[in-house]
Formats: sequence, C-alpha cells, structure tokens
Amino acid sequence: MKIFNRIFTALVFLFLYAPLFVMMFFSFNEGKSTSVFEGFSFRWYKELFTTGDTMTALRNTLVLAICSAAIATVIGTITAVGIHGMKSKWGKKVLLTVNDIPMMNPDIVTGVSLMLLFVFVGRLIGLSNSLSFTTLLISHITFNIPYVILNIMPKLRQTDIHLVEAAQDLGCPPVTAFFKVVLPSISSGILSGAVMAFTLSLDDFIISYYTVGSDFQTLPLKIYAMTKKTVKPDMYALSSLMFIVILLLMVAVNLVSQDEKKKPQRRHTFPAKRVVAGIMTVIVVISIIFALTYENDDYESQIVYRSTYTQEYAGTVLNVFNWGEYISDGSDDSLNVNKEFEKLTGIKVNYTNYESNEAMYAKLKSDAVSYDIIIPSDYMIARLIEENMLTKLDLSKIDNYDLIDERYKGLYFDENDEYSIPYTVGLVGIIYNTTMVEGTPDSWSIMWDEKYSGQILQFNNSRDGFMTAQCLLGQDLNSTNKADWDAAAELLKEQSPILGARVMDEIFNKMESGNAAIAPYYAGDFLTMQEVNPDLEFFYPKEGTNVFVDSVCIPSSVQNYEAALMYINFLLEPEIALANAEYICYASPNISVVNNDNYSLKGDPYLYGTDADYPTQYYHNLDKETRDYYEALWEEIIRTSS
Amino acid sequence: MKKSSRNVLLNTPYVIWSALFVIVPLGIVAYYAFTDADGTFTFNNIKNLGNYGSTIADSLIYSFVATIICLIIAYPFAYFLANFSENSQRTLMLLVMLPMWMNLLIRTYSWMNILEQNGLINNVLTRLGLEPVQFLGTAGAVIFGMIYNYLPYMIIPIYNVISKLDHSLLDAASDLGCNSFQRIIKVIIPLSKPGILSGIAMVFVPSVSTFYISQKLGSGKILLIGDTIERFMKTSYNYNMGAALSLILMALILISTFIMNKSARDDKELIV
Repeated sequence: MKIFNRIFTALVFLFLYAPLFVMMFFSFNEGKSTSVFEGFSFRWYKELFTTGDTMTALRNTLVLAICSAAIATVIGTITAVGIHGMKSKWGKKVLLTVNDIPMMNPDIVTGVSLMLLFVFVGRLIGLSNSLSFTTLLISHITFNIPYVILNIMPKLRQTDIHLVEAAQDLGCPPVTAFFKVVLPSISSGILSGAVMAFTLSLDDFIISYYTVGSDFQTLPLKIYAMTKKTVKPDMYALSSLMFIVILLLMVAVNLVSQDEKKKPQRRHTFPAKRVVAGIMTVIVVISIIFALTYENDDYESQIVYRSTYTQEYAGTVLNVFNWGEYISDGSDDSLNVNKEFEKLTGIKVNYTNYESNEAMYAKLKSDAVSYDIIIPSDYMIARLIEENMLTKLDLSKIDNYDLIDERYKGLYFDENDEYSIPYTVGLVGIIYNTTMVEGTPDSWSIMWDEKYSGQILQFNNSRDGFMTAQCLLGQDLNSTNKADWDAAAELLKEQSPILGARVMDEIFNKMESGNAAIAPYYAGDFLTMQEVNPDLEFFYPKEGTNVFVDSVCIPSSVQNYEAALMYINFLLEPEIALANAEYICYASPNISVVNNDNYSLKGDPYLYGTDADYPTQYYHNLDKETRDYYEALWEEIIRTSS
Repeated sequence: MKKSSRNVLLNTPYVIWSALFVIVPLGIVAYYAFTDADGTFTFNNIKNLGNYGSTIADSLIYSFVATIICLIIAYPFAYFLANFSENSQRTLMLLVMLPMWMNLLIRTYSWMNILEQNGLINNVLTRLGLEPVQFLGTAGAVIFGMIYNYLPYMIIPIYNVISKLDHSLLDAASDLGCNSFQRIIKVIIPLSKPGILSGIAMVFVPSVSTFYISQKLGSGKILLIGDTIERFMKTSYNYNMGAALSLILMALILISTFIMNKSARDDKELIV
C-alpha cells in the first residue's frame, strides 16, 4: 500500500512537471524549433538578452504587477479593516458578496465586462484611445483587491480586540493604536495578500487580453501572440530562468518558516538556513532589479539612407499595429527595424500584433485604441476605406514612394493610391512533405485525399478556408450567390473528418516538425519552413488561387500623423525594405529590393516566378449579408467536425 | 457614532471602486446583451443563443468531466500527501504550487509539443512498435489540458482540509470498530467536503470558460463558450452576441454555485 501511495504521488508529480521539463530541455536547442532538438547550445539565452523585445515585455509585466499589487494592497487593507469594524451584519454581507464577484466570475467575463465598460465610457466622452496602460492597471487592481481582502480578514478576526482597547485606554489615539497594535498582527496577512496579488497580476493573460491598449504589451500577451506563430526557444529560456528564480524564492520562504518553528532551541547555533534563505532572496531581488533596468543599448547604425530624417518628432510615440512576425526584429542577426527607426528619429515605437485582418478591424472599430500605422490586406483596405476608417496619405512626405513597382500601383482597392502603400505581396499555395506524400501533386484535391487522413491542415479562418473549396469548385472567390457558398460548405464538411487540424500560424511548427503532410499557406512562409525542414515542397494548384497585397495604411484615429508618414517612408528605404523582405520571406513590391544582388531571394521562382499559368483572384470586400452567411456556415462546419 | 463613521470612511474607496469596476461593468454587459449594434433594445441576441446550444453543452460536459477526473486524482493525492512527515509535506506542497507560477500558455503549448503526431509520446509508441495516436484535436486532449492546468486548484483546498483534520476523530472511529476503508468513507470524506466543494468550484469555473486550451489542444476543431466569446469580441466585432454569451456563462456559474452551496448547507444541517 505504501509503495502504491508513493508511485501514485510520483506519477502525479511527473504529470505536473512533464511540460516544464520539455520546456527547459528545448530552451537549450541549437535550432529554432520547440519540437526538433538539433543540438545543445546557450544560443537562446544569449538571444534573450541581446535581441527582440522579450525583455521589454518582461519589464512591462513587472511594472504592472508591482503597481497593481501595491495599490490593491493599500485599498484592500483599508477595506478589510473597515469591513471588520462594521456593526451592520447586512452591510458586511453585501460588501463581502461584492468582493466575491471578481473571484467567482470566470476571467473571461471579468475581462469582457471591463472592456465593454471602457469602450462604452470612451465612446460616451469621445475618447479615441480609452484602452491604455491605465485601463490595464485598473483591471489588475480590480481582480487583485478581493484576494488581498481575503488574506487579511482571517488575521483581523484573530486579532484580540481587547488589545486595541487596552492601547486606547493607555492613551493611544485610535490611529496610533491601529499602527502599533492592529497592523503588526495582520502584517503576515497583508504580505501574503500582496504576494498573491503580485503573482496573479504577473500571470494574468485573459483579463489583460481584453483590456490592453495599443501602448503596452505584457509577457503573457506576447507569449500568446507567439504561440499563434512559433514559440521561439527564447521564450522557453526566459520561462526556465523565471522558474529558477521562483524556485529559489519559494525555497527561501520555506527555509525561513522552518527556522522560525525551531527558533527557541536554535538561537545559539549558526542560523545557516536563514543565511541561505537570505542569499536566495538577494539573488531574486537582484534579478528583478536587473530585469527592470535592463537596457540593451550597444546598438550602432551603419545604414546609409536615401531620404533625410530629422529629430523633429523626437520624444513622441508611434503606435504600430502589424501582423505577428511581420517585421525584421533583430533576431538571428537581422536588423531591428523599429530600434533603427527609434535611433534615427527619437520617436518611440510601440509595436503590437494582430493575427487576422478581422481581429485588426474589430480592435480599430472599438474606437478604444488609436494606432498610427496598420498593415491590412487588400479586401480589408477596401472595407476600411468604405467605412471612412483610413486617413489619406500625404505622398509629398513619402519620398521613397517612387521605389514601389508600377505593377502594384492603382490596385483595385485603392485605385488612386490615396490610402495605402504596398508592403508585401503573395499567393496561397500548398505545402507538402515529400517524405509523406507520393508523387507531385498539382491540385487542391489533394486536401480531400483520404490517403492522408489526419495529416491535412486547413486554414482556421473562414475566408481562407472557404477559398480552398471555392478554388477546387472553380468558383468566383467573391461570389454573392448563396448557392455557391453552400456548395463550398458541403465540400468542407466532407473534408472535416480527414483534417488533422485547423491552424493559422501554428502551421509552422506542424509542418517543420513533420506533424502534418499537407497544408495550404503562403509561398513566403513556405520558404521559412523549408529552411528548417528541407523535405518540404510547394506548388500552386492548377485550379487557381488567391493573391493578396498587404499595404501600409494610416487609420483615421491617428494621433501622430507626421511621424507615421516618416515611418512609412522609412519602411520603403532600400536597406530597411531589404531587411524586411529577407526576414518575412514574402515577395516585395519594392524595386530596390527586387533588383538588389544581395537579396538572397532575388528571382526566387515561388515568389517572383514568371506570370503564372493558373488563374489568381483577389479577395474583395463582400457585403454584410454574404459575410454573415458564410460565417454562419463556417461555424456549422467546425461544429460538425467535433 | 464616531467609530461607525470611521468605518464608512474606510470603506468608501472600495465601495466606489467596486461600484465602478465590478457592478457597473456587469450592468454594461447586460446592456450590450439586450441591444443591437445601433443601441436599440432587442431580444434577438438572447434568441440567437439557441444556435450555440451544442457549444454550451460541450463546454459544460468537458469541464464537468475534467472536474470529476481532477477530483479522482486530487483526493487520494492530497490524502497521501497529508500522511508524509511535516517537512516533506511542506516541500511537496511547494512542488505542487510551483508549476502554477509558470505561464499557463507556455505549459499548454509545451503539452502540444508532447502530444503532437510525432511528439514525445508518439515517438515512444512507435519505438515500441505501436501505431501513433492522434491526441490533438480530440475532446480528450481538451479535457486533458483542463485537468493538467487546474489540478493544483483541486489539490490545494482538499489538502488544506485533510491536513487539519482532528486526529482524535479518526482514532475514535477506529476505536468504535471502523476499518481503515470505512474510516475514509465515513469520517474523512464527509469532513473534507468543504475542501472538495471549493476545489470543484476552482476547477470548474476556469475550465468552462477557457478558450486557450481548446484553441491549442483542440486544433481548431473544437469550439467552447470561451472560444465563441473570444471570436465575437476579438474578430467578428459583435459585442452584443459576445455580451449575451458572457451573460449566459455567468448565469450558468451562478446556478451551479447556488446548487453547490445549497447541497453544502443541507449537509451541514444533517451533521448538526
């Protein structure tokens, strides 16, 4: 029996720790993957401190956690004392019930309710960026207070009321009595409440996800954005480091509390445990201070620019909202475009991500955040123009506009080139693993081939998902005929049972590690994946496919118009555009890149192949009725597959 | 008089705060749930909830199963733990809590790597000459994710109750002729009910409202209430439907807490 207990206990611990071990193991991966181990290295630990904005996100998270925990502790302590002293049972009950609400409510409801509050009030008073650091802080304080109160109440109940009375009898004014008698006796409750508030805030993703604005990104939000693409091992490295810091902290707390129990007998001996605990605490504090003050500043620019850039707008802030992994960010020795811009102009860039055109639209439409730069796709630009959500660009301030290939001017969604400047272009094709797929496929029908059941990936996004079926059926991608959508939906339902997964950016990991055999995606992303897994191949289906253009735009809620124009011009700079084209791997509409001999993808057949013998179609902005119709069909498709 | 006015003063900041950021937001959720995009009153959102019946049912079933399995694992675990020496107990509880400090997203993502088509487990299976199993994208994987992420929330309250049980009661039970099995069924389990109940609440609530776990481990093939709310709020820009679903979610949780509290109260009456 005893053996059984131990084995069971050990198994539960194995279960709890398995993913953490995997995480720590892959943080030492030499390669970029979190599932294929290529060799041992400290590369990602180094990368963590030299590149990317992971450390900024960590610092933001710590600042938010410290501020919200401090404020919540003060309010919570005062309130707990107040509630404890209340005579009215009824009043006490009401307050404690209200206190329970944020704890009982699912986080998602708390997040949604706070988001709607901020959006609602913002619209009421005409604020264009009601979601900001302040709203995030308010939300964190709101869900922290109940835990502080909950930790202090029992301590107050244990406090002997006679002691307070005695103090007052001996001449203490009530305030002094509070500080001298009550506070010391509840201090452990306050401390544990504060620590709990701090950790809850540190780890919160859901509530932050709904209440965050354009100017601030916390670590959990960044991780969420990353898990949509591939989590790079640097995130595992950071998590492993945090794990060790937390482990040290908890061991220290544990040692002290053990020592306290044995105090009477051990007074005269050397307090070894206390010393160890002290050292550990010091390590923890130092690492927090280090994270808060860390600044990687040894950055030298050697780029020669075509235009001149002034420091005219130095000190202002530019909010950039872009797709995930859609700009060269300094990882892998690439150029850090945003940092370069900050150095050059003194403008601070707040860079945040979205995962779909629709997500970007919803955020913009809430009127609760303001962005200065967005990079939507063709059909979404048409929709934004139609709804007056974009500002016209002053091309006289964008000297480098002449670098845009004539082919990408006057496109259907912006015929007079007033609102958008092409950033990337591309086509959807099918990626397949040559070790898993027989022969050389050339048709969308391979995605319906039962031979590959469980190994086929599909878009987890209605419009693109429908596109695969529409192409196979030879339909117009912009059909407003319901019968067309019904037919496509039928085909997709047939496909459901043989699908491995519906994915967006998760496709990288799945294809790179050979977890799936067939997936529709963008040519540029195929090149990125092929670098990791050379077994991958790509083709454009003969039935035709979707072509897209993503363009830089300025939304009508812009706050820093001049700086935004400067940023757009900067993105068109030959060196910058080249760095981005190399990093993103999508085809560039910038002739200085396309003709540059240093461009590693120059003339790449997938990106820049001669005019295709397959038809290509743009998405257009469809009317609301059609949109609602196919969205409802899509939901039905997903539901029938589970 | 003086003392009570002091208490009023002390409570004022919190009363204002919670009115503004706890009560009013819930009112606004209700407002959005009963209006359309133009702000006119409507019951349509509530009517449309009918379309999500199967999603709501799935969420309830999955989180119910996850909660039960958590209880089945956590109860004996907490019981065994409480029988270790005091020092080991402290260390082991620390080990139970430690993973909770790591980000939930990272842990779930890491499981995704383990459960993949050619992940760690399937690698072992194929080496043993077995067929690889497709874990991801199944209801089982989503339930598994819920169990993994919320198991400590079940262990901690149960352990707290069991470790503080009055041992004289156990001795009394033995003296009165209970064997160890009867002792568990008749004494320990009834006495640890408060821990079990709070554990159930702490596992069920986050499970029923999750969206990250179903997104990652469900491979886009499983939709839960949380996913649907997320989509309405974050991509389809339909705050009204998002609010209506949030309202339903809240109602579901209120009802289940009410039922649980009621059963707890009935028990108390029985004991007394």
